[in-house]
Amino acid sequence: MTIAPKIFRLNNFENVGKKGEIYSRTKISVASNLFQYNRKVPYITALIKTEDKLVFGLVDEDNAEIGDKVTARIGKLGITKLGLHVYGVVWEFDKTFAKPEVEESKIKRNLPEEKVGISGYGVYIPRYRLNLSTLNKVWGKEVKGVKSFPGKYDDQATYACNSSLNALKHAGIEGKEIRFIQVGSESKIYAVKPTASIVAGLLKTEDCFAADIEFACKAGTQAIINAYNFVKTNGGYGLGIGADSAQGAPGDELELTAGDGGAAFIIGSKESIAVIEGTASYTTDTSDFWRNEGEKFPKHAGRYSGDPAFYKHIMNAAKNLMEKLNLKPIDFDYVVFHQPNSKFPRVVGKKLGFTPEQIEPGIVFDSIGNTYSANSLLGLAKILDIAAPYQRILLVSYGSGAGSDAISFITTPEIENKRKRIERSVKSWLGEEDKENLILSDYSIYLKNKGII
Amino acid sequence: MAIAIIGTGITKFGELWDKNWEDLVLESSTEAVKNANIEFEDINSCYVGNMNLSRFEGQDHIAPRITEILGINKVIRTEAACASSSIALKLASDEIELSSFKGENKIALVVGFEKMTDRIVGTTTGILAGASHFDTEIINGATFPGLYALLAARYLHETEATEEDLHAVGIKNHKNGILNEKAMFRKEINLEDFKGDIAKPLKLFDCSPISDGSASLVLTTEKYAKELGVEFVKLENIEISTSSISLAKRPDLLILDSAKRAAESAYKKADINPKNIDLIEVHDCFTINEILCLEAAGFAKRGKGYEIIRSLLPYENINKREAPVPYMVDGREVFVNTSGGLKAKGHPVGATGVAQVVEVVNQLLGRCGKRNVNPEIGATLNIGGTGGTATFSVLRR
Repeated sequence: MTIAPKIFRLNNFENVGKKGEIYSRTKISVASNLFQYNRKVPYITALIKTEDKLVFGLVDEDNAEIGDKVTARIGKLGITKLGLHVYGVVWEFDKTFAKPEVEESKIKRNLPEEKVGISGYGVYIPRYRLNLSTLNKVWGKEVKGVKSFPGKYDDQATYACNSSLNALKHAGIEGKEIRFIQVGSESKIYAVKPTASIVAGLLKTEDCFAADIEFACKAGTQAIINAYNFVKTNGGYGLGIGADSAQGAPGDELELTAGDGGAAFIIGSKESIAVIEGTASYTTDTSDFWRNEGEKFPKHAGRYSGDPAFYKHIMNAAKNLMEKLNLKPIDFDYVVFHQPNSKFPRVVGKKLGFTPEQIEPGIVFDSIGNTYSANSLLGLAKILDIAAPYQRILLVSYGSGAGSDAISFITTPEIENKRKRIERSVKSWLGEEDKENLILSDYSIYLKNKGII
Repeated sequence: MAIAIIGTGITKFGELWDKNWEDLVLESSTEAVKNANIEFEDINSCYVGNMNLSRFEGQDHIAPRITEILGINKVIRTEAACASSSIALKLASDEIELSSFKGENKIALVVGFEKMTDRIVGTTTGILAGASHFDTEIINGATFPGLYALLAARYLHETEATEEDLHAVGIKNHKNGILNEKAMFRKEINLEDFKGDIAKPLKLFDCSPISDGSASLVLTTEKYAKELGVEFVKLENIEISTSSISLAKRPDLLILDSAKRAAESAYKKADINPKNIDLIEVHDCFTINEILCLEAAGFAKRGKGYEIIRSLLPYENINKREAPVPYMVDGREVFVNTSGGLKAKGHPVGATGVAQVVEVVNQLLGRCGKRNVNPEIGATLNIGGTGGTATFSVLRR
């Protein structure tokens, strides 16, 4: 079989972000298997009338009809027989979502001299939620709750790409102004070939450092710290991303928690909404969770993940930073910890002397599960949505293997100016608001969309 | 100066798993040469239309392989998706026309063929999708049923037409196919058989089948045909027009503008209009396309072609009528797809353009037995892709 060389440059991001109206549509039940595109039949293809032209595309809505209003986002169209992922736009129903709402500020913190900080942030979480009680029938576990999982056109790269576009919009800058991209992930779509270069291609930035980075669930904060250090040295803008389609083996405890999503933070020295006051890290050789080369699912050491791993590293990193900056828990307005389950972040916060008022606003686990590298970043984004100017936020990640990064942010008046640009709150993405947008599915659809069956 | 078609040949269309493509080309060409009353040695050049032998059968560089089979030393291959062999016919007629001006007595063989059934359906669907735009349509999962479904969905949305009007096209063409011994399907179908979406709103029976087959024509100048003393049909002209390959870039989605231009140009050159046409073979690869072709060929205005189909009402009675079943257009009988069309006769894509002409020639010569409708003027409308290429030919007794 001959495959055209252009297969090597198939990503087609034209029309991303455009709005349109369905002009004609069909549901394809018998697909071409030549390139293995869209093998999850049936799927909806349509002609979409945009402002200036008619375009052909895929619609991620099973009941799309002529006349429906749609907006384009980035989606994975499929995988070629060469094993290359193909990205393009998929169209989703045009909707209005809940916007972030600021909470009352009590105390004003002093801004440091540091100017480098978050210029903009964006998140992306798929609409699909696994109803965990549907696992009971299969695995005999009495579980409840939900976690996010990929739609037909989602994977780790679409989380990185879509969250980056949302961050760009929030920062109000052009993609080509980004000089540094790092994607933190443990579910990279390729073993070799970075997701960061896909993001760079999307942003049309070429004079740019790009790489992927991995350290279990803490690669996202590493990407932010690396972007911060890059900007401090080189100026310009850096992009730190945490994105994961988290893996958990069928039947394993991780399957009850491993979720999907991404968060992107643009770091710059101008118009920061939250400046970075300081960072600290803590690392030891601790084997609480690992995945061997070539294996699909990680293994873990059960209860060993608790005291010697999660608690020890988070507490040491947090203490290191507070010591360095001469701060106490009372000096923070909000605090976000890594959230591998519902309990750990709450307990570690209490151990460190934080109150539920500081901890609860940053909890995301209960809505989507543990999105690995994106996990604590989504918590930070959720807080930035509601934070007032001059508030201090502590972010502490945890990555198995093991280490923690702690970052202290202080919000600036710019946070209020830029909030107006946010079209959808993190709470809406999480499904805490706009619940009707969620697609609650059972285990079978989860297994299919995760690529397990 | 008219071109004379002096020989026709066509294989049975269908799942011909016991034959390879060379067998098919030889069979239809031998038949055409035989009824032209010539020998292969008398042929000066051969034009072969084929869409995708390389991906169906792994063979590129078809022309010299044809030389091996037929012994003709000047073979040219053409490709324009489902209109591949009409392009071959156009090039052959140009060569014959030129030879007539030079006073030469040239003979050309035109062959169209496709071998499609040696691949599984998903792969064949993928190969055929190659006739649409790769970067926007194929990577977004386009299939041909899908693309024509978009046309059908829009047509049904904009007009009063219903899915039953589409089905009636299939029922009529299946009825006609019964009388064609070369047709792939020779059985009646009814409205209740239209179930199982291939691409909504198109049902399985709204789609033409994947088939193998070959068709051949022998062309020469009118003058030489008379000298040879064989029966012939005049190819008044064959016109080609192209449009955008992508549906999204059409000036009007519901107008096959390439087909409209080709038809208008052909009518003008032949000094006729649609009212002069008794019989036309149109490109019913999907039932919606027979309607769009009738509009493009001038039998109805944009969005009104379904009213022609409604001349068959009540649709339950189509199978009770005697085949071939004509449409009534402005109070006049017009026969469309007496062969059974692509729907019932089969659609080996590279063969279709020539096969349509074979049917019209045989109708004009009264060689169609029970399905003969004794036309004076016949035409063919062959479409490549979703209308990226179109050819229109006018044939006269």
